[in-house]
Amino acid sequence: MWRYVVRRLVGAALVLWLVSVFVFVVIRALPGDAVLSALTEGGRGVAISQADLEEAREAMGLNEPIVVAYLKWAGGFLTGDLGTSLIDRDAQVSTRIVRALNPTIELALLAAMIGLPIALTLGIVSAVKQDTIFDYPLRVLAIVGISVPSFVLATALLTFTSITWGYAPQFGWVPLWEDPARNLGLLYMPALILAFNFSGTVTRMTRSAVLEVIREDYVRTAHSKGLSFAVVLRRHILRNALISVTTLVGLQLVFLLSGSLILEVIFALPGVGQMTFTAIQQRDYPQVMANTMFFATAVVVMNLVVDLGYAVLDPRVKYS
Amino acid sequence: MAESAATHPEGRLAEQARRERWLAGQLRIWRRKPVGLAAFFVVIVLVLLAIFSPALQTHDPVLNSLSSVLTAPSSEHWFGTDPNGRDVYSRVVAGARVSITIGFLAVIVGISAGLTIGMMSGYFGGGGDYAIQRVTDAIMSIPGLILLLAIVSVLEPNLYTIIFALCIFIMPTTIRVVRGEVLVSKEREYVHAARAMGAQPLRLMLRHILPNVMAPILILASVAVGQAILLEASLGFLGLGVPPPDPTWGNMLSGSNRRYMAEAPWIVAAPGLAITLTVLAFNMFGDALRDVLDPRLRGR
Repeated sequence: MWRYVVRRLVGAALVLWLVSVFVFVVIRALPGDAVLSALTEGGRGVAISQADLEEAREAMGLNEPIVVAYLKWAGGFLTGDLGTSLIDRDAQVSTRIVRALNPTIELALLAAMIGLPIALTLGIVSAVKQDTIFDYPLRVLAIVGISVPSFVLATALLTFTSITWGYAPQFGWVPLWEDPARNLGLLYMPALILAFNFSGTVTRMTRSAVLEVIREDYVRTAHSKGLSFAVVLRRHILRNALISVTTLVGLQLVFLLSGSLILEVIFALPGVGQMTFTAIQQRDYPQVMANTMFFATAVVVMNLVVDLGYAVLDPRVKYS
Repeated sequence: MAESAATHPEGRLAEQARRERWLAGQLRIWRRKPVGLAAFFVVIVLVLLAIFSPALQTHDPVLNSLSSVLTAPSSEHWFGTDPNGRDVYSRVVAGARVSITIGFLAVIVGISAGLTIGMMSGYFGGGGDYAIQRVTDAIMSIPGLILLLAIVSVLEPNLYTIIFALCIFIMPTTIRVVRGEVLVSKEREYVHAARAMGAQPLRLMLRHILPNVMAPILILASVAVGQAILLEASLGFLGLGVPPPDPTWGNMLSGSNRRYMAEAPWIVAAPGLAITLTVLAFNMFGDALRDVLDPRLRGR
């Protein structure tokens, strides 16, 4: 068992290293650079001498050969120093991420709190009542949930509320502890949209997991023993189905973090997703590296947790 | 009994009979899946829309016309006009060509590449397999939209770079699915038997393993086209899709259109519905495919 854990940890570290190299190379290859972006404020045709540009590039360390630059970054990463933002010159890249975590995590949590209970329930109902009048609408709803893009749903909702009630939700951000009412008023719509997409996926996963378990022989045995359906459901079906559901949902939760990008842009939430988008546009290399490593680390860690958790939860699984 | 063309297995009549039996079998299966069938027809309609796009447009999709700005849907402009006076219906039809082209090309190239790599990785195993698996893990841990944003920003947004970026996105999942199936198929008795008879790896892979891989690949392909179109629309929405003035469903939902969407909802309703219905169709078809092919997947 422990050998498996160690192997997975080494693999995870390797994956993270590969991510860092991949993103570093891709981002460095971006035409135009942070200097241009910063000095010309988005490239709005300000005349700057070549000499000034070169000086600024030298100061930002953009002229080093890529291998050297990467090694410097990697060294910093391992000691916890992710560098300063090229655009926001006074801010540490990591500090900016921590500040931006607030809206992103709150949005993800809200979406999960709304979506998870609904999706699990609907998935179970849909599976138990397979092919009946309850199943079809739920399946359609779930598949619509995964098919409607978040920005389409957002646009539809915003247009609809505006036309029907003349109501336009406010955009912006205020932390939860400063003004809970306003905070929730700003977040409820993006959270609902995110939850809708999330629920679609989770409902489908839950449904197939439960269906697989329902077909098993031990469930049939339990039924034929005369146990009531509720007991069979609780003691046999759900216990076993939820093992695979937990592992699948774990990963989906992490995708909630990154799935909020478009919604953060639409609803003007200063979260990590929006910061990453802006950073890519502005060629803020250290920021992009840090943000991408953040998302990748979250995914890799969740993968690890889910894999090891699966070994713990399912007594049939034995790892050499 | 004397052999006739009707009974000789290689005869033309027998071949025809075989084809008709296959067709009847397919009809029997798909008749019980009305949703999947409907989705399939929607897909066909979309493909035809994409192919015959210029012929199906009623107006020039990029021509500004200040005299007919933001008019409601009418007999002349079926979906109304946008803030620049352009016919929304024609723009949606033009956008269909972009989306379908990107979706299909990205999936065809991405899945072919993923299939090749996955088969070799799964069959030969070893260090190369380990390395490939870690690389696919790495690509899969970068959120899709961010991966696309990064690649498309590097290479300047246009049709080919978007397709390339989508291929990079599609390949890891394909490799995983294919490799999984290859690992299972590799241990089947008929593969052992064929190898004992001296079959070369290439023949084993193509003749014995590939047919098992086709089913999951087809399902994956259908879902992947939907995903690709969704991501392409997201890119367009964020301003990093196929650049204007070419209309894409994504960029029809962004920018200046958002300012007027309350007074003229048709300018966003049409492209929004187009994206949703397209992705929905591919997802539903993929679901139906899974139901049809899955029992056979389980080796019964």
